[in-house]
Amino acid sequence: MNVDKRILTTLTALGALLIVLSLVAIPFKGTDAEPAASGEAQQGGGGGGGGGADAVSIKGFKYAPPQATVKAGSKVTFTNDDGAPHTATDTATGAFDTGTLNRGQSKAVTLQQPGTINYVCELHPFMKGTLTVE
Amino acid sequence: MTDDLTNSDRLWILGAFATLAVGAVHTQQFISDVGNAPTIAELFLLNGIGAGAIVIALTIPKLRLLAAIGGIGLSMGALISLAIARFGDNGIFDYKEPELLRGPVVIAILAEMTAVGLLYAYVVSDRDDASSSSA
Repeated sequence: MNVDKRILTTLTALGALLIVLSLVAIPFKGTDAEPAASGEAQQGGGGGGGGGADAVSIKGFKYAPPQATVKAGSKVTFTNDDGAPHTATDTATGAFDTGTLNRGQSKAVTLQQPGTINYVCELHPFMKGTLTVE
Repeated sequence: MTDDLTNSDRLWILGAFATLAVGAVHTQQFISDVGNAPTIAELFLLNGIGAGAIVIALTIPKLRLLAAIGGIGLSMGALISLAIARFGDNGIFDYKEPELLRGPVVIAILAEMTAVGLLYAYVVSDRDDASSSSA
């Protein structure tokens, strides 16, 4: 049991570094994934009027924006900017379901009926969003 | 430098590096991915801190056996949690992992299995050494 001191020192230093990095990481969790404030969904290019394309980003296990208002008949595009797969699913009325979106994948859904739609990620149900269709 | 290392030493040293990899991938995922997932974020953070503490404890001869058992528990816990997230109907803490072939998941599984194997082999070898020296 005569282990070289350099091995012991290296392991101790790496272990301590891992602890420090983990603690330092706490305030930085999700700092590059802050969702936009509630409000209008981001306008995508090429849209316009009632049929315009609106966008909801999925990042940091949140929908951005979490609440959005769109016009009836418009398309809403959900894009997964997270490393983890997600869905955007209206589990209450079944108005839409993007299916599983992996990193970088998008799915556009068309919302026809005015009203409020609460949707979740089926894989991570703590993720919630609301679309108000006018 | 390592000429006088016993097989037992090699096992815990390699197990320590594997445990470092387990903690590092969990800390990285905490920062880049799951930091906003309730409960899961805290568990990933605790895994990173716990892995660091176990590696330090492994370097201390009097704590080595206990640390090795702790390292096995840490990695086994992570593997079991991942299995529940993948195959459980409701995932774990509202977290489902539908894809095991994502890069970080693959790295985590490999590191955890390696850590469990090496540290378990160390525990067995340490027990054999203890029983042969007392005979």
